[in-house]
Parts: sequence; C-alpha cells; structure tokens
Amino acid sequence: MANTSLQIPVRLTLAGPMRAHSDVEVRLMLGHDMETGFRHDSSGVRVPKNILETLTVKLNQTLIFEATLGTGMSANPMLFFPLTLPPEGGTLVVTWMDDQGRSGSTRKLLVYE
Amino acid sequence: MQLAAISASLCVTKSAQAEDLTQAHLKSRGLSEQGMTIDLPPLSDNSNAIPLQLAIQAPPGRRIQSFDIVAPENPNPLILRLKLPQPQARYRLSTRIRLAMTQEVWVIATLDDGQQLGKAAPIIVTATACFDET
Repeated sequence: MANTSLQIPVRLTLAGPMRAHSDVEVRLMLGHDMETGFRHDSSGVRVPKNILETLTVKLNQTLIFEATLGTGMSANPMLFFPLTLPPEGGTLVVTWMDDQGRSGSTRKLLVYE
Repeated sequence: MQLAAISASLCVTKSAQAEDLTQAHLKSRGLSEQGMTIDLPPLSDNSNAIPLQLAIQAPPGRRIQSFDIVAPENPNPLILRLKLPQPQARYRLSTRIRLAMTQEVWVIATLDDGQQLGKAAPIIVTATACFDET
C-alpha cells in the first residue's frame, strides 16, 4: 500500500479585521518544491515531475475555492484571495493533492475579536 | 531519441492540450478585457517566482465562475485554473508564477452566463525558469 498522506508545511493566515461579515484576505503558502520535470540536477539526471495538482478550500464544509495548479506555479505556491467572514465563525480547511495522488490538509479556526 | 532529449532539455516540448492556448489563438478570440487588471512586472530577472496580481470585476449582474492564468510560451501553458463554487461579482488573487520565456501572460475569466473575458500582460524574461539547477 503506497503512502497516500502528504504532510507539508503550510502557512495560513487571515489579514483584516476578524469580525462577522468583514472582508479579509486569506494568505496561503504551501511548502512544496513544485518540480516541473524539466529540470536536471548537477549530474545531468532529470528531476522527476512532482507538483501539487489540486488545492481546495472549504469554509464550514462549503467549498469556496478550487484550484488546479500547473508546473507554471512557483516553488512554495502562494495564493492570496479574498474572503467574507461568515456571521457564525467556523473553520477554514485547506486540502491539497499532488500528482501522485497523495493528499493532506490543514485547518484554521476563525477566532473573532 | 537524442533530438527528443535535447528539445526536452531546452524546455520547448509542448504537452498535449485539449484547449488551444497558443498566443495566436488567444489573441484572435478578441475577448473583452473590461473590468480586468493584471499586475505583472514588465521585466523579470528571476523567472522562477514572478509576482502576479489580478483583479476581475464582472459586468453588472454577472458573476465570475472560474478563471485561468495562461502562459502560452510555457511548456505547460496552463499555470492555474481556479473555480469559484460560489460565483463572485469581483475577485482578486495574488500569486507567483514561473515563466519559460518572454511572452504575454493571459488571464481568462468565465462568467456565469458562459461569456469569457480575457486580458494579457507582456513581460520580458531575461533568464528562463527551465535552466535553473539550484
């Protein structure tokens, strides 16, 4: 059985006033090399492709963001996007999957002032 | 065989794409760029991480359903495809991309009525991302 879990360092922060209905910016950074498969190492051996392929963000079980990443994304992919905070608070869940089908996720509790 | 290896190392192989993402085709579509802004540096020395910011404002009454970031001259032109399960009237995104060579980077948005908007931003790339061995 292949290892289907992929744990990577993730930075997930929210910029803006943490209040119900306020517009904030989700700042998401994933620690991944995003190997394109076009690169060769110093001994001339081709480095195999290994990228994060899909990325989803859920807010309280509702899908709000679904991205397909290509080799054109830089290493340590960074995505900043807007979000309107829900009145009741909740949890933000980020899930990723790489091109070998390994996946992982992280969550962040929305704490209001 | 040898030729294939050389062209692969030059990073010019194109993967099979169902969609036509060539510069000529994208340009010939004559997409409206109303309400779109792309913030991309005019010149890049480090093509491995080029900051790109985009903002899309949908026409009145319309919402943005998805959008693509496309670099026609990259070996894999489709950089990012973003779907918004809850369509938005306006959206913005900041990210970092890799580019193989000097080209125009396109952002193509699809609205909830199926209409598409598209805008291109030119950039000069002095060092391709494909030769980097660090």
